[in-house]
Amino acid sequence: MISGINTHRISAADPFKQFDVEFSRPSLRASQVSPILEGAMPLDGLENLEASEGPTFGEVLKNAVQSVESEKAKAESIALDFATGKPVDIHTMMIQVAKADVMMQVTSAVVSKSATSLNQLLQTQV
Amino acid sequence: MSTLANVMEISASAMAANRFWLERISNNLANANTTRGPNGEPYRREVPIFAEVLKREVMGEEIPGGVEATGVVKDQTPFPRIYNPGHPHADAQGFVSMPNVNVITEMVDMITAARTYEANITVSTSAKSMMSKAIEIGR
Repeated sequence: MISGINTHRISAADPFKQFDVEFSRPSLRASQVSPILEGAMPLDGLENLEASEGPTFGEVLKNAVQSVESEKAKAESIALDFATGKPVDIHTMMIQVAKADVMMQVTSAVVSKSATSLNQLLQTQV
Repeated sequence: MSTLANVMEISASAMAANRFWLERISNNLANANTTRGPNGEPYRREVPIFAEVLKREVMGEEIPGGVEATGVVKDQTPFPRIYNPGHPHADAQGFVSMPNVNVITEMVDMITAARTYEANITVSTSAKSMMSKAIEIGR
């Protein structure tokens, strides 16, 4: 079964582990699609799909999340230093927070784009 | 991360430099009437020195590093002498050496520091809004 993203199975500890498993599963590879297509019409270049070694959806998401994670951790530690009275410039804190905010927005945009394209891929008529 | 984040780093360095400047100005104003320092002399006005941070080269591209306050120099203009024989720090002729701090100059410097700080916040804000706008591509 080609399933979408099982949101109820996403654990809090590693919310993107699920994506990794689901997206990297070679369920939509050309080897499985082509037997159906063979009788109808030969599609040039479809076999090359299998050979392409790009990052999986899961890897893309994981990288995006990891970079946000590091920015967020920096922002958090600076905010903590500020709250505990350590000499932290307000602008340093605010800029780090702004960076983490933008990175979060970028990730959520990438995630929703990836999810949209995956859904579109799954709706392909064969 | 993108180079727009570097813009924010540069603005942050400028904000830190202006914070440093304001710190010196506040010290100058606080000691505008200090006739004795730890060295036995009246207070000398402090002026910060700013230097451009060395550019980094990342993948064949020069990335500016912003500004840095490298230190403080003491203003060497002579101390103004005021006739005040009753003052404990008056010399044999009855003159007291006052700090070479001009309050008006300090106020002008303070406005400059505050406005420069604001300008850098504006730069940082536009860098952020540019990043936010870039996210909207293809929405």
